[in-house]
Amino acid sequence: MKARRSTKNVLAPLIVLVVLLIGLELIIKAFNISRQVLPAPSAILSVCAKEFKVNIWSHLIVTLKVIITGFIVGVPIGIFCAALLSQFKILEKAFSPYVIMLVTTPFIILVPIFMLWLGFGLNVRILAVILQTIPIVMLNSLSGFNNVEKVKLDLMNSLGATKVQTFIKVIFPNALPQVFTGIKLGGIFSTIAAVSAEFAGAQTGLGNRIMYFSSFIETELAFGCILIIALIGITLFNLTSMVERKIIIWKK
Amino acid sequence: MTIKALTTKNLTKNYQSRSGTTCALNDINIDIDDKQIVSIMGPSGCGKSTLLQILGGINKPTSGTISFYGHEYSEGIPNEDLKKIGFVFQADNLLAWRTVKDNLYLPLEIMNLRGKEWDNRIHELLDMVGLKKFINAYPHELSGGMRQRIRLIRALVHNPNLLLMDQPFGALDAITRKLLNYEFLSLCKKTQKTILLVTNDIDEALLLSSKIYIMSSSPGKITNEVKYDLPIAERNRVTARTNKYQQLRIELKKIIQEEMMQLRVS
Repeated sequence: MKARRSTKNVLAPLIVLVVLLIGLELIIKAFNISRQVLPAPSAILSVCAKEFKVNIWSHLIVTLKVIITGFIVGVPIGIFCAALLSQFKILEKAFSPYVIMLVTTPFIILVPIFMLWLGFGLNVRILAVILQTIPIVMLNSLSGFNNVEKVKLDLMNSLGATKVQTFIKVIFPNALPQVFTGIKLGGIFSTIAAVSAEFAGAQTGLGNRIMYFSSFIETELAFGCILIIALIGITLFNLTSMVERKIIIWKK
Repeated sequence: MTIKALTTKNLTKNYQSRSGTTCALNDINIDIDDKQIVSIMGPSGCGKSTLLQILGGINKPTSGTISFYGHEYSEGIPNEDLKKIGFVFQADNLLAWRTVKDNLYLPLEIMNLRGKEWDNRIHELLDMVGLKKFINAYPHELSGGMRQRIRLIRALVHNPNLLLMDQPFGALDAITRKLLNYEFLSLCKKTQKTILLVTNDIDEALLLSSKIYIMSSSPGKITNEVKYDLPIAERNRVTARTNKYQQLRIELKKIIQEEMMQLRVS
């Protein structure tokens, strides 16, 4: 039963993809759409496969490095800050408007300023990813840490538990579903932030390549890079979901 | 003269709200002997749960004192002495991410109790309620009655002297409730704990307790007290058919009805 459902889960989106690709291919061929406007899926695939090693691979590695470093640094900081804020109400009152401000600020507009401080290296982009990831992880984790049923806290009080014990044994595990929502969104935000930073000013990375290929009307390669970025986002999201399912086994 | 397990002196609880001060509990004086089972009954909102929460360290009294096995406290019972108390909640608050076994270990972890004797105790208690084979199950895999049994023995794992129970069987269906009442009676005979039970069921109160306090609301205070001195060891499934029991049942019903009439008048 379970196995059948999981094959369905994989099969259904794949069928959509195949139908979409064939449809696109047919429409482009039928209406004779120029490759400069919209390249056919088959062309994207063949050109990208040919150019992958020389023109894409090294940039993919750079972008992955930026996303993953920023994600791995940003997520624990976000969870830790949320834990701190949830346990000290005065901190929460003082900081929560700024957390929301950080969530809504697109860091792409700050990248040029960061560059003035940090130069043109990868550090600027990693910083942008970290700063974009922390607040969204924080916001979700915080709502989890703040929404504990009173009867569970009563239980800990009746046992004479300390604040730290209550946090570790009840508040944190109780909030794990929300924390994971934060981490999943953090993965998406990391990807967006990395590519945006590359757009704003960089000589390497997939974001930069999209601009570069577009300017030379290499539309197949530009679209290829866009698809790879989407794939990175999906993979990160699914990996986190997988870990979530392994950890949160008590949810029906 | 035996030492009292628990007494309260003029215990009062006020709540501050925007509309002023509300008195939830007013001059509560109760006493429980060691190994005695006492019940509290009263209409909802009379403060019987608040009283239990104050005794269980969840809430603090506004004034008055609690003495617990000879020690008098005015700020509520301190953490050190909470180790001698077990609390059974009305709400289902087993931790969903812990198995039955790990839920039972929670009090031991908090109180830093480790060792073979405690492991054995958990197995014994599980055996007592007939749930040994569910030791590695998660709470959502159990029925309501099973979860209630686990919550009951969770309050017993650290071997407390006093058990505080807040309408422990309230959320169950009538048949499961009756079944658990008798099961609990035999558990009481075996463990011989001092128990303070809040309930809304006359038969549950009469079957289990040797003293029943009746509370009235706004402000919550003790208005009546009924004693039933049949020793717990002599109680069983036929106790309810004895004359003494039936007589007390009628008396209790009358008191509660009068209480309700007064509620309607005021």
